[in-house]
Amino acid sequence: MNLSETTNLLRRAADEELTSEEVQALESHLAAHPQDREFIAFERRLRGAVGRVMGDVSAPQDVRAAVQAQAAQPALRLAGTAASAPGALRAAPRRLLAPSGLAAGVVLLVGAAVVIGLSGRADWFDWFRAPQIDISSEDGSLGFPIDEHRRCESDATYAQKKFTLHSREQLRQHFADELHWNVSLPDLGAFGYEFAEAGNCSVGRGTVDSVHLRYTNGPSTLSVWIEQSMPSDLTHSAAIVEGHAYLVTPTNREAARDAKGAYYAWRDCDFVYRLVPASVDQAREMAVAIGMPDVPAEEIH
Amino acid sequence: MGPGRASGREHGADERAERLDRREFEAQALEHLDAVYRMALQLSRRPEDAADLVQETFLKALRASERFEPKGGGIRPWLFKILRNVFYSRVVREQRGPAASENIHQHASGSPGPDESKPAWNLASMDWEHVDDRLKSAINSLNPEYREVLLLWGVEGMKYREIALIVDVPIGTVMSRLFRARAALAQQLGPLAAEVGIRVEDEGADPQ
Repeated sequence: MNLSETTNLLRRAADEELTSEEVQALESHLAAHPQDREFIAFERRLRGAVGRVMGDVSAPQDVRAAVQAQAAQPALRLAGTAASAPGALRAAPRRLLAPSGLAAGVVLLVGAAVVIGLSGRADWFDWFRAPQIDISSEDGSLGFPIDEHRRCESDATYAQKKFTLHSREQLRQHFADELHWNVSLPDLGAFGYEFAEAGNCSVGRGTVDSVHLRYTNGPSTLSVWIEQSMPSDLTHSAAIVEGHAYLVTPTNREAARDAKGAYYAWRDCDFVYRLVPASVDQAREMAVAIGMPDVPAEEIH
Repeated sequence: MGPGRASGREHGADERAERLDRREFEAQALEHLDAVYRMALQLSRRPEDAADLVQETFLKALRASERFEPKGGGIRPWLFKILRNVFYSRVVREQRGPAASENIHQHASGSPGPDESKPAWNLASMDWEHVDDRLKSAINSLNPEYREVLLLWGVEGMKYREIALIVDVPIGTVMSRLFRARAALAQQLGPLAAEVGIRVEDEGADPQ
């Protein structure tokens, strides 16, 4: 070990963050350099001193009272129990809910898998502040984007059957000439993703309800869903107000058995976007390219 | 939207059991009020701003309590993560204005980040009561990204993994920032060590 490695080992030893293998390495090192025990002792004392000099701060009583009053608000109480009511919306984003007349429209769903080596990082994006919706905690279709993305990843036969469009030009013609959907195709080339294939989807009404686009970047894939004219009871798009991002979390029983994660949804004019990120960082990376709005919830109304 | 519409309308008891009861969540969250306030004060440097940050943090946490996963590391890291996001959202928002960003970032550009140098003295026997003021000054002079990690480690006693979760960086980055911050503190404490009679050793006394 060089000096830097040894120092790091000793600091992590002081912090009790060593693996079992590293503990053995430490013991060997200390046997040869017993004076370094003092370094570990110093680091522990330093930690204690930092805690002592900086930790002597408590929340003022008025702050404590204000937080406790917040917790007692009826709206928050409702938020805590909404999930137990089938089909209920959580109270937190209630003020964000759109009128029920937003049923029709084109929906663009974005599902993302693992992204490796992204470049051109977007400006910092506050995903955590996205108002959360749980439009139907019982509705299995909430997890559909994630399920379908997974299935296309794992079932090559299914994917081969589903994806019938294999060039961007084919896709453009499909939207323009066959579906007559005036949509913009995401260009994710800046992130190393190239369009790979696309295919139609339907909920069984005999018409094309959505188109699933796949982009690839080496072993990584990204799914884009475009949907149109779906009844609100199927798309849940009615709850998504234009210009703001929402976090949609499938919390039904199926999701409880098989955690699906969450995806982000937002509307831009007649479009609703849904992004299923593998990580928050990934979502941040893709936000600008996909067009997800960066508008804090507080600014909605 | 697509296939796979669930027909069931029952809410799983097992699902509820995996999540904290609402009142239990509140109680556990409020236990960390002081810690959240401490970090809010460190971030904002102003008591009135810290109070706002704390209230907004808890408001968001309580509203989103259903999203909280006990297995995800506990309430405290979750609260800290919300706090950071609330704070930096404000920073971003105020940066869009003409003057606000400088106030919030006045410490961000004030001092360079610590280097990788290591203490060249034996401080294990230092009388720490003598170093408090100097130490506090040294901590406050650190760049925010280093100070933040240092305080989560030193004041809140968090593990690297928890800090990484909160700060949203890899564990390696946490260790790097933390080690550099500690090295910087040790450097700044060096003169004091000499003042109080602590033997300052040469490079040979560095960890091998």
